[in-house]
Amino acid sequence: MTDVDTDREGLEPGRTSVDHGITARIKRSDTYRSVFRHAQLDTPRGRALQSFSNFFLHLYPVKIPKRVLRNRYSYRLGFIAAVLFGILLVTGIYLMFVYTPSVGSAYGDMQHLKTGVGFGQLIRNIHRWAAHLMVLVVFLHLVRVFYAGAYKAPREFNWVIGVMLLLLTLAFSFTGYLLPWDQLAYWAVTVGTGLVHYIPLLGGKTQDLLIGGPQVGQNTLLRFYALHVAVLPMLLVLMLAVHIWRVRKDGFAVQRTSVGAFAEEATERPAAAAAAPMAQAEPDLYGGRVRLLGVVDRESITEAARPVDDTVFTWPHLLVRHVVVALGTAAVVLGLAVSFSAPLRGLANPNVTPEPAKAPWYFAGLQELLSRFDPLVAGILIPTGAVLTFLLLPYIDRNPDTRASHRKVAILLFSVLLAIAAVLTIIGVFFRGPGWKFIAPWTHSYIEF
Amino acid sequence: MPIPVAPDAEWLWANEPCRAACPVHTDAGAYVTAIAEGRFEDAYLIARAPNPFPSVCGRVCAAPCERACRRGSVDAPVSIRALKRFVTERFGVESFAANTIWHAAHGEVPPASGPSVGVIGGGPAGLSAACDLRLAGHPVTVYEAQDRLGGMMVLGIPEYRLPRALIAREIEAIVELGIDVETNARIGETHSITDLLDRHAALFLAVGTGRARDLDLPGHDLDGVLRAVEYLLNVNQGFRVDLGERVVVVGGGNVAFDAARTALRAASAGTAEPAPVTLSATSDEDARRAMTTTLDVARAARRAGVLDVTIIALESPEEIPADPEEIDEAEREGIRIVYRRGPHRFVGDAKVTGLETIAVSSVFDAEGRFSPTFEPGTEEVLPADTVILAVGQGADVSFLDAVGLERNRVGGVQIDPDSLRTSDPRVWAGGDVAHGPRNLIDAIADGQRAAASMHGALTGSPPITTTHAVRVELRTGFRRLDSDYDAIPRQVIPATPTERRVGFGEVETGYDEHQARLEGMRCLRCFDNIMLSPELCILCGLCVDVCPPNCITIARADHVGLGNEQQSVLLLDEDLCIRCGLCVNRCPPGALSMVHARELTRD
Repeated sequence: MTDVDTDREGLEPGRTSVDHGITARIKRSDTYRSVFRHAQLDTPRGRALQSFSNFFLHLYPVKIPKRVLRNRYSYRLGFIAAVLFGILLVTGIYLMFVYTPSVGSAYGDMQHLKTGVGFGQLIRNIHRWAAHLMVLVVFLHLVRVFYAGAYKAPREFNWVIGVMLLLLTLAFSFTGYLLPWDQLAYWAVTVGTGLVHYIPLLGGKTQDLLIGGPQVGQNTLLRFYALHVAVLPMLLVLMLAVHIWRVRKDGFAVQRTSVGAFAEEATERPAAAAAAPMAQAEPDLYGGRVRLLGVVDRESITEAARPVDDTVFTWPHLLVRHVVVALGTAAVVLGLAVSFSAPLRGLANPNVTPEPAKAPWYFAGLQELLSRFDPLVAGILIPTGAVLTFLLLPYIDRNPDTRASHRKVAILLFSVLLAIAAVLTIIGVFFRGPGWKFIAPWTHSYIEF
Repeated sequence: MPIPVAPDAEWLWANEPCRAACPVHTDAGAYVTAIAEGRFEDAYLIARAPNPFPSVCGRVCAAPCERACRRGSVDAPVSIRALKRFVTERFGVESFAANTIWHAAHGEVPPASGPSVGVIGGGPAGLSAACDLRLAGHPVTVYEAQDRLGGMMVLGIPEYRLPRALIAREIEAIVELGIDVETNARIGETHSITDLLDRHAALFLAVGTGRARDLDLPGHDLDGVLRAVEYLLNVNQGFRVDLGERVVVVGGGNVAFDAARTALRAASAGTAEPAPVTLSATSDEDARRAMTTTLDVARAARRAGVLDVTIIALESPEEIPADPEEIDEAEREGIRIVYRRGPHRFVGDAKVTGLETIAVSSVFDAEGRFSPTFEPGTEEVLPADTVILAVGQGADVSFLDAVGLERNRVGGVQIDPDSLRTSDPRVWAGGDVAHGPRNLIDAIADGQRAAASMHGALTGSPPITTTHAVRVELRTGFRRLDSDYDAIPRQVIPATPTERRVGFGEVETGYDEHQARLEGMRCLRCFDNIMLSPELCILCGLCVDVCPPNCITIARADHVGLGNEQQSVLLLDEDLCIRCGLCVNRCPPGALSMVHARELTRD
């Protein structure tokens, strides 16, 4: 340990005498300070430095508008989705150590998890539940953003990225569905990939590309595995980074026009300060001691200006809430994982079709649709149309107003679509039995999560 | 390198509130940071440069710099005065270096060849004028009525706050420049003013305000009713004053007691409300100074062995115009303070036996103006063997009648506020005699201004302008991440324990090196200024985000009347900025920079 730098002696916040304890000495040493640049100071600057000089907290802005702290503001859905993704990454890596993507051993590896791997089944359960919850939470996040009108300028493009993230989440879930190589996995993917076949002209080729042969087999497993553990994570991490970055860049749902309010605030500084014996660059203009740093010849593309009193430091206000939400999310996932095991049916058998062969729950609505309409319409036109509509929503809905009372048509249309999708999904999941016959869910459940 | 939008030199100069507030414009920021960096000798030289009395000021300056200090809006101002004392103890006249470094600060003393100047009054104003005039090449003679130089520094400030040896050494350093001194020289008795006008080309009148004001209440001429100035003058000259066992001190400034007396009369007559008095900046200062005198008197009496010392004040504890620390110290020493009571009548036959007081119902009116009102029927007698009145003081300038100088409203000498010249073109005046009782540092500043004005008039050199020259330099790589300056609390100034405060030993003992450097680090460094190169700014707003005190604003130019809607402006609130430099560190295109401003010393 190097010598104590005299400049730092006794500088622990609030102290007037030097602390000679061993921890305090270490914290004052040059070595410690080469790693942690500054002490933990309970001052405004100290709080700013927590975010400013910490790689991990760098994702956050230093300050956030106060209203962001209210749970009602976002219900923290985006953050919960990110936490779930983190859980999936960690448990997924654990599972990679004990899984071989081969039709010969995949199923055996799944069985081996139960008995031969420490916490193997629990980890698989957590992975499974976190995956289901992520699909749900990402979708709810999208719904919340729509109702809040938060996809409007200047956040149009972040909505587009958000929709892509939802598609990536579905792709993640779908590719992962196959990996256990049991009957459930095999037939769900067979049904799912079967839809691709209906794409006009390119359907056959695309299906071939996706499953690597005439039917789901070793090639499919390897492709899905590679997508699941390499391609999709890279894409998702990249786009998530852009998504979060843009949340900061585009502002926290701040009206662009709020700049006016702030400027007024700047000009309405109390005149008392002007009485101070200070020379003033433009006393009439600013009052007080606000100095013009410079006039920049362009419009501000991002909205940094907001009333001064409206912001709080990320550290500790938002961070504490995020820690609580993350712990809560982990607790819910763990609770589900302990209570409900991930299903493992018999080894995948292309010759025995289970009755009914159901797609994963989030595609059940689509499957229900398919049973009623022409496959081209239900399997291709409607989903593609829906995805495109969602992607382009901010550019279709040009109404700049975010207040619900001023966008009744948009909200009504969205709500109707949402209701239809929900009803179809519920029917597909709970009310369909063998032969896609209508059954009462309390007689027998044909769904497994 | 694109040029940032920079304020002019005047703005930069004035943007350091401590220096702007100091009457002699001591560069407090510079010496405080020098202390933080361990450059103690540099710090002394910076503090010494504009002020011949750094050691005295390090102990008793009213420290207007501290009241202006921007750190005060964060937690508490930097203890600038205590830091000055820290360096003067190492390099000032009280140190082993004695007067050598004091003299090193002014360089070569020119031969006394210019027109001769007489200075009447050897107090801080007279001595600082004498110092500057001598350094400008004038032969100078100081005429002092008492048997020693120092004026109110010696006579009005108790020894426990300012050791006599220290004043003597600092005065000695000034006299060593080659100044002639005549003590026991009473103008009007030993010399006449016309003699002096014959002897010198010009006179500087700085006789102070040695005459105590009276409180015109029934019984004011009883034995045992003393005036604060007279009492302090006697005690400080070593004479014993018999006070008895119980002492009551009546405190308040000139304005306070002018207003209080009017109110008392109204209360006695049971008639109309008196007219309120608007407190100007000066009367505020007067009240503060008077309360300091009151506390000095009470504490001196306590040290003289009086067990029962009571102060009566018109104000409530919240309104009293004194530093809370001073009140605490007095109370700790056993002095009782009775708030919200005014003097009504002195009781006794021939010798005072008590003071009748009356309750104050309010001191300020609804508009916050000074307008005391009393409650008739609440009179009470406070038994006392001695009552000391600290109710202000005035100038005694009867000897001036011979030359017929114009007088001002309060009985002092009328001067031109810029040149300090009186109605007689050969006579200048400054300090308390011209302005009424003020702070030590104001007197020193007056002496310097008068010296500059006299030198200009006597030699025909152009008058010194009041513009400032500032050198700015870019501080590349500015980082302040390692320092914890914003978290360091104001360092408590060590003091002698109460039980050991006997006699006239100093109460404050001063910082040690460690405390001084910590305290020095608390300086926000207002001389570092944030500048913007607008052509580099991409308006990303990261500076706004990172700024801990929220002092940066981005606004549309047309909203603040500085351009059109396609332009944006960046505004910085100088009152809030703590110079952490995080905005500079974070700015992606490097549009923000830190610029160091340093005043250029004029020759």
